[in-house]
Amino acid sequence: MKNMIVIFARSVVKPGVLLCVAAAALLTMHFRQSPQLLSELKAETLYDFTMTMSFDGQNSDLFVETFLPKSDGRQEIIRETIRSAELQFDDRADSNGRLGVWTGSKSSDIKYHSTIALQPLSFDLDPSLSVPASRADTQVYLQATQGIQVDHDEITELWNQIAPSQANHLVPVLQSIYFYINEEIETAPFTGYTDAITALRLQQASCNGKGRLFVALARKNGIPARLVGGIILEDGSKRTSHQWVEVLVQDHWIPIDPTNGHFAFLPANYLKLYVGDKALFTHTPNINFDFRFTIDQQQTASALFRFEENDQSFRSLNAAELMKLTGLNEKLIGVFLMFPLAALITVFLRNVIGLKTFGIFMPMLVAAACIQTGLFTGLAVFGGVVAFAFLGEVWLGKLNLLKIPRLASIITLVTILFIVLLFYVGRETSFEFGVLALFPVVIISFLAERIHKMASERDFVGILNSGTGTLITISCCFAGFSSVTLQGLFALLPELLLVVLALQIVIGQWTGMRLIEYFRFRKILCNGPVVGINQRNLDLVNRLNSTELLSIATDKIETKRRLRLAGVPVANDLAVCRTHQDINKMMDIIRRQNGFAMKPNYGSQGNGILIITGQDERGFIDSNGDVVNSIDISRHACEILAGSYSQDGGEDAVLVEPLLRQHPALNALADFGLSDIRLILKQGSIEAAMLRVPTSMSDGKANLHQGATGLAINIDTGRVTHASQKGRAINSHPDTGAQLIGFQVPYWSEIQEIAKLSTEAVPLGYIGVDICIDAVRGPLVLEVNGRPGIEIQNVQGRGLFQDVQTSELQYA
Amino acid sequence: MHKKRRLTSAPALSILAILAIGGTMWTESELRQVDSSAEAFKIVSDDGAEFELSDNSALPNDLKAAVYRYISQSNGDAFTSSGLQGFAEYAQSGPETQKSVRIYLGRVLASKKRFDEAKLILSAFSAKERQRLGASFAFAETLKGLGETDAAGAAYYAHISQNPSHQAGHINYAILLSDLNRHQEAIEVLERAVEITSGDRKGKSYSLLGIAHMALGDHKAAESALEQSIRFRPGHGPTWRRLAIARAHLENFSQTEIISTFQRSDAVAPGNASTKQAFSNYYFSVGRFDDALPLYSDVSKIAPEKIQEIIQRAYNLIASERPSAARRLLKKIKTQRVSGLEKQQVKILDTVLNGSQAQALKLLEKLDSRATSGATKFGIILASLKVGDFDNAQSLAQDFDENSIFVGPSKFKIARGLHRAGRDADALALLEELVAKDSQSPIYWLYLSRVRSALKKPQDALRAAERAYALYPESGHIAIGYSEALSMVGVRARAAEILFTYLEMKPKDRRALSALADFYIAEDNFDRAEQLLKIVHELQADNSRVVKDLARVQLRADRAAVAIQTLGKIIAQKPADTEARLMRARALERLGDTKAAMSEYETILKLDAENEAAKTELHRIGG
Repeated sequence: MKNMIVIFARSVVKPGVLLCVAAAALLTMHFRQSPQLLSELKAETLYDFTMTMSFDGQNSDLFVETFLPKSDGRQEIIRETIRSAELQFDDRADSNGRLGVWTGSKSSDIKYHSTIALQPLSFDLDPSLSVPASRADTQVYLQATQGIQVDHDEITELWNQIAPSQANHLVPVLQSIYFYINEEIETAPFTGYTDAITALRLQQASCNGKGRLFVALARKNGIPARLVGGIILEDGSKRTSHQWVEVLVQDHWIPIDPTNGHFAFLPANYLKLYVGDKALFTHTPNINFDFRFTIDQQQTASALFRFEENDQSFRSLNAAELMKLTGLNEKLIGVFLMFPLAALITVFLRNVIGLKTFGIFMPMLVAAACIQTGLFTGLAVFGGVVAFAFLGEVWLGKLNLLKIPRLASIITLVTILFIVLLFYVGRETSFEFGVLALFPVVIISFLAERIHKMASERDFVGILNSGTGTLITISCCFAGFSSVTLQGLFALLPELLLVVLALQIVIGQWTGMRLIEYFRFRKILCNGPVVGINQRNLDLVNRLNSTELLSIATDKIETKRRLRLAGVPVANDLAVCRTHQDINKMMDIIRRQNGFAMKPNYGSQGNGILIITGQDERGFIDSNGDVVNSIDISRHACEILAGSYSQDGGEDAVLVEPLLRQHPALNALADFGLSDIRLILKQGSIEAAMLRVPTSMSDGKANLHQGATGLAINIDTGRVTHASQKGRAINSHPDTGAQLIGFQVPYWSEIQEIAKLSTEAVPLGYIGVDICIDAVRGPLVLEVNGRPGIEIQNVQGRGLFQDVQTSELQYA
Repeated sequence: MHKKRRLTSAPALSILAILAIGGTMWTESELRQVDSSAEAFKIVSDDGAEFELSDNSALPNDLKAAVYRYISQSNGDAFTSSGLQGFAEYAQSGPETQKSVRIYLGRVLASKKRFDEAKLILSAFSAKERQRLGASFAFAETLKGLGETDAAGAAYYAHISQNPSHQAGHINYAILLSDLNRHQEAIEVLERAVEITSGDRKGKSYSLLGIAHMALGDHKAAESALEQSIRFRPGHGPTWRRLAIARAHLENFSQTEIISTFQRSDAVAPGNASTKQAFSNYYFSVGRFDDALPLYSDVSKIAPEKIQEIIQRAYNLIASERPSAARRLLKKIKTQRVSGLEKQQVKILDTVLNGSQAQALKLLEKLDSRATSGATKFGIILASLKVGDFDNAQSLAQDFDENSIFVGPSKFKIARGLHRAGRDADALALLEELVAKDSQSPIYWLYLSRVRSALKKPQDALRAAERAYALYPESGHIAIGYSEALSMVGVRARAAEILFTYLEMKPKDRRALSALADFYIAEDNFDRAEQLLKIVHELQADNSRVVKDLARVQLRADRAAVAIQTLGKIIAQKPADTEARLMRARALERLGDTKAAMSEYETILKLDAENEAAKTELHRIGG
């Protein structure tokens, strides 16, 4: 019982649990005050309606008039913007609609944009309704006009033919007219004005002719009727407007569209602009007037734009309403609200699933940008831009530029690409190129740089893995960003952010094996506990290694200083170059060397290391056999100094060491490259050791993920017990055929001593010590690593630590 | 081997995540389902004329078809018997059948509203023959359709005399009689209609009977008939509306009952402008102007073209003391197309709301109040009150029909005008009469309280204010009025409590804050009063009255220096404000700066040489 209380108390004080409890309390309060809250989650279609108009002014007094959307019981203008440069804009509303008027003396493009919520409208007409009695206030809707020839003989004749038997019943009368026009009058794409009689005579008409004929027949029967003009909102770009009719029944205007077959019903995508027999546009003659409507419909959580007015209480607290204060639109507010969740998705995919991505939160940002374009278009555009940046990187690489100016050049190239795209297709399409600005060009540039580097290292599997992981993460984040359910939930219940925070904290404290690690270590899972990367980071690196010591471990010069002081053998320093002034001195030194290695002091994973194996009359010869001249070497030094290879991008120093020649015993395994020995020590005790032998696949590097062979070493004997390459068990070297199993590592006991001494010099609790065996000097420490990898487990065919209990590690 | 942490392992968490994603996707698909259908708005028939299909003839189908072919080929030519000869079916028939065919032709034409042609065919027969061959109803309909109402009446009469059980005939005849204002006769016909009809039609007959009784002013009989109608058609909104109207005219129904009948009408036929209009008019007539506001607003939404209704809404806004809202509405009306009579009403409304007294006088000279509608007359009353012509207003108010919705509101506006003109005794009589009749009107009680206060009857005033507050505690006017009434009788704590309660609902209500500040001044709690007035000042920085009140409080709290600063703000904006300058001069004096005070008094006299207060003060200091 006592234990249970302790366990309970421990779990309660965890921040994640506390946050969840706080969120639950707030949620309970919220729901108690507003039980119907979740009913507001319903998605609503919002229409982005853009009307662009253009004309040539000819320096005379100009005017352009058009009807603009107006809010009423059925349609609601959520937001609108009008851009018309130097033209004066004015609008006035009357019973016919809202008239927008632009006046001025210079031609200009006019762009009207609004976001509109629309509802369908439906009426159920009682079949026993009678044709209404004439009223003074409806006379205007019964009169004949120039285009609606109510009293024309042909209208009378037509009515005689189609009149229903119950000619005093409103519904049969309307239906007779409706069916006649809908079925007998053929719909024709007439663009001009068609009056009722012309429509009748031709038996063909567009919506306006059909509408006028309907109105004429309705008015003839004493039914007040009028034309209505508007636009059918369908995704895309078009120039056609639409007309339908309304008849007045008991003070309600009943919509009827004989063209598209809607009786007493108006679909949600009908935007009403005006009533009456009017033209949508009126303007100064001979000005080459042109117009276009662009419509984009998108489902949006109603909680993002429908707010309870004048209620500032917690009950009606809406995060989206508060975010309105930032001036963002609903779409961006939705995206903004989803950022924490997208971050959680990213964290989950990386830390629980184990996906690798290009950049940590770059996929999230790309997904956010895709909200404006749609996932596939966005990905295509993004892929295109990255490909362009990659090609730019390749081209600029040939120009032998320094890294930072090269990245800057890529940013400029990507910007130029946007401008060129806009110039050629920006005016011709409805696509909003502005949103591309959301694709962060800086990130794109870094991404291109990284892909270029991976490609040049022929790490195509890495590109594929990271690319796939990036695509999956983008898709998952996109799903989160575009979910109306989640947007609505986070807007209405912002306390859910506490739950997200709690989950992020829980994942941050989670030490389980990532899903992909189950596959990676599948062959050794049965051989005891395996350490995953989360556990390595939390239980080993974070717990045992102080930040200060970790930073020392990344500083090669300082590490070597400490190692020397502790009596650990390390490679000599030919030169240390901290400023550009030191470069000339360094060049004088290295000209006298037959071979040397130039390293960035804060570099990692072999980045920026230049190996010179010798000199001839042409210049220096690098490890690939290529000739490198002095200028190239000094430029490389400059790049190192500029921080191009340092882990944090800060200023760096150049370290030049003599070229090490490996011990002949190791040459027997592979006589190229430099083999090294990695020892993993935990609190001074050697836990695991392996010998990394280069192969042709690894391009002469002792890098396991590039294909070097990993040889597990028995700590007690120094003999190789197990060998593998890329996770596959092998017995002999793939290039030389040398027998690997049973190989005795020379100087083994000395190596162990050196490793232990190293942990005294750099007292990291969890440390990887890389040691090479020089042909002349014997074992030398190459570097120490505060975050040694866990692939050694696959090499030795078992988990990192034999004794889980003593190592205080937990099962995955 | 990984049992220990299986529930929090990556596979388990991945499965959980997949389930969560699945759940979200399912919810997403549910929420995203577009409901393209809309809830249909039901529009029901409002007891129009009855129609019958004329295809109840015993004629063989081939002959009926021949008739329809003939009609479709006629192209508007006059129908003749010879025209039918072209049809073999007709030509081969016997003379009696041919008569039946022609009668059938007339009936079909009548049903198609081709009355001229129907009359041509049917009038060729004698009344007896029409009767015998079943066309007397169609003939009556034809005559009615042609506007020959007297002849139609006779034809209906002949028809129902011979067909005493023909339901549609009785109903349509009654409707015609009602249209001709022959309501008594309509009632007799409808009483027969009630006997011969059943179900829905019986309900309709009762409803029409009720309408006829109402037209004759017999609201009791109307109410009884309409109540009967409801028994047969409980879901018929217009009948409920008429029942409510009938009840509104009867004294034995309480306001609650009448309102619930209107509410029922609104519930069974939602969105019906006529119902909302009648309901709002009722509220208006009984002085419940605030209750009428949302209903009038609904009417404008449903039928935005109905100018008359919008004007009525504007009058309601004026009656409920919302002139700014009425002005905004007037602006809207001015953009609409209006008829001649409406134009006149808009002009009156414009003068009442925006015009000067001179303009109102000029308008009144032009208007002939005798032959005007109720709304126009009400407008003229308001214009008369604007120029202070109470006699004209009262005489016009007495002209209203006793059932007019303007009776109460007119008297109220007159009483309010009298009160403002200081004629509280006259106002009292009117208001007492009003509350005796319409005891549920909070604004009537409020003004009664104000008038009684003015007449130094604080206890009576308090009783009236209490009634007003009980009826409408959410109103700022009423809360303040009640609080004032309480203060007058010395119940200051309760007065403050009322204001606090109201301020909980509307914490930024300037009037309530000012009233509360007055309360604190009376309590000599100048600091608190000053705090409140500062809030009011923040809300209405350009209101010089508030600033002066603030300065006055500061002076009373012996903070003359602060008061001088406060007054300085007004004087900077309005240098000719002698009242503010006078206050500043006194404040300067209080600070001992006699020289500056004298200078200020002199400035006041420069601005207003007749300013007695400045003269006196200057004389006092100089003396």
